[in-house]
Amino acid sequence: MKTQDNKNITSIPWIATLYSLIKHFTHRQRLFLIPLLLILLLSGIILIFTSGLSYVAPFVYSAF
Amino acid sequence: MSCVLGISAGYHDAAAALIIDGQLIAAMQEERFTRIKNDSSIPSRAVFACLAQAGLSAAAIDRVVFYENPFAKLERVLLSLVRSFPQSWKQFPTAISSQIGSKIWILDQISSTLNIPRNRIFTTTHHRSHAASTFFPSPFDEAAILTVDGIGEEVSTGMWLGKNGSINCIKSIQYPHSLGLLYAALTAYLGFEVNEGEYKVMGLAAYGTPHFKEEFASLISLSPDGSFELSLPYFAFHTKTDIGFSAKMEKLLGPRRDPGKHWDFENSPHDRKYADIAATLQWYTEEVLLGLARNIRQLTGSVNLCLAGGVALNCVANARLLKESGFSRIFVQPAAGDAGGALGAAILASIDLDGKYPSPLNTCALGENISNDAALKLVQNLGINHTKPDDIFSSTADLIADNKVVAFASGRFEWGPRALGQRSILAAPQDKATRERLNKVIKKREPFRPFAPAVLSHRAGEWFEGQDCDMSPFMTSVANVRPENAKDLGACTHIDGTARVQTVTELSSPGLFNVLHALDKKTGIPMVVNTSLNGNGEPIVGSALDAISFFVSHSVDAMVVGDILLKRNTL
Repeated sequence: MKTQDNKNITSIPWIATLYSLIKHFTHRQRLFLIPLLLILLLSGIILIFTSGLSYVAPFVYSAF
Repeated sequence: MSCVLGISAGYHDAAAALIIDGQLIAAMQEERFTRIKNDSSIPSRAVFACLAQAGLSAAAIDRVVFYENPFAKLERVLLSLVRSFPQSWKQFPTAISSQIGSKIWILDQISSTLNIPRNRIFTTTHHRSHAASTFFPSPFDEAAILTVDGIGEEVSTGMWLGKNGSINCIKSIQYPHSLGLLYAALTAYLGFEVNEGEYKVMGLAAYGTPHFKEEFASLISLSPDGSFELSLPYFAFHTKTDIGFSAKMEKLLGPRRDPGKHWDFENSPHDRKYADIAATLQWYTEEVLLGLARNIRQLTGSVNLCLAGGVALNCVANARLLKESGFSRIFVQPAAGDAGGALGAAILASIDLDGKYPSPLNTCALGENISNDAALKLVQNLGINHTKPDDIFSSTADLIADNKVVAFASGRFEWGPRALGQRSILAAPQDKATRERLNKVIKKREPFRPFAPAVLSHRAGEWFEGQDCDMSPFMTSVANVRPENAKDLGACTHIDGTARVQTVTELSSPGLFNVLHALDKKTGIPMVVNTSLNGNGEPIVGSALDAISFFVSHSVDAMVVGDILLKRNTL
């Protein structure tokens, strides 16, 4: 029934998100996905800086 | 006092739900404010409208709960990309832009948009939100729960038991095997918009016969325990983002239908074939749901069933479940799709925080009220002919009895995709020509789309069979029209002899109840056609401004906005 425990979460948003992200992947033993995640992160940062973030597609399930 | 806010956002149909001391105060979809159909953005306007309903500011919120776990979703996306490689390589840019560009930061975005400290923002999981959204507001203390949609984090179908104030997952089916995605893929194949056209497919199905069962057996395999598997080579939702089905499906069923093409069942054998495909899809959907329901009935021993998830909005399937699954009672939360996740998330957090449970849901009028002052000011400024009748409901009934089509905006707008008498277009149910007029002239939609009747609850049995159930107040099931009284329902009987009936009580929809009561006195038939107050492709009307804009741009005969009656000059 419980929602997730937030007692260790900082009130600084992006740190809180990175903390939760790492915690999730460590807890679920999905560390092998980290390289792919890093590639996506780097590409994402590039896209953010180049304002390349826009798409419209109805079947976004596999990307969501 | 505890104050909890549930939020769903990021994919489609963003919404907010506010619970104070365990009781549901307000629940609203963002689209009603932004006027963007199925708006998925962070529902800031819905949030502030919910808070305004309670007279609170964001500072009063103890917890905000997001309806799913964005990190678990990211994990599933990454795993899916790896598993589908190399076909999935083209998806990488989309995955990057959706996940890294916005999705994983959504909790931060909620924090900054609502100005709420980040450590007050929690998450739950997608299907748990769905399960909570239907079980806790249901009339049952104990029930089996079935959650069926396209995809949550990794689960597409959940089987749960709700008992002793908690919900526990018994069994689940994982992505990519998904009944919601099967329906979505075929919706796209039939030329309709995904996440919007599924209702159309359901309406279309009644015009066909399920001749394609053999072909569909290649698309989906059913197991005796109710579980199912999709044959992935026929689908493309796991490797592409622009289309849900593969070339192999077109080889199996023939070429897809062009979107937007006019439907002609009389002269086009192709359109009759597409109707048969829709009928087969509907048949398979019902068979899968029946299998799942019978299995969970066996596993839980419960006689009550609660349904949620987008697939639970299939009212034809729901009616069949009630008849054939072995459950005595079935409840479907009216916002069964992703919007409803906001409600489930809020309920879970409220229970978590102070152990308080919501009362059973008896109305979906949980939105923002119509402002009489704003409406009056607008009609005065625009110079629209208007009156303030002593009894607005009796005046509405007079117009309907005179065969006029009346747009009706009264009270708080509805929670969920159905207009249930707060933002409705009302008309007399007898004349088939009314249906043509509504479809062609006012709503401008496909000719096969049915209209629903709304009837006083205690009189419904005179016209319908099987309407006396927990779903009919929210229009989430269909009932058979009694042949002896079918003449009273020419405008709202579907081609298969059913109608998506709404039973109305004073509690569920007070304004519509009064109209029906007055209509009963005048004509002896306390029933109207009830269709949503919106133009083609628009969200349902929210405010007085939306309502009056609708009146100005659509050819209804009259409109009720709060306590004001607007009439065309010709009346």
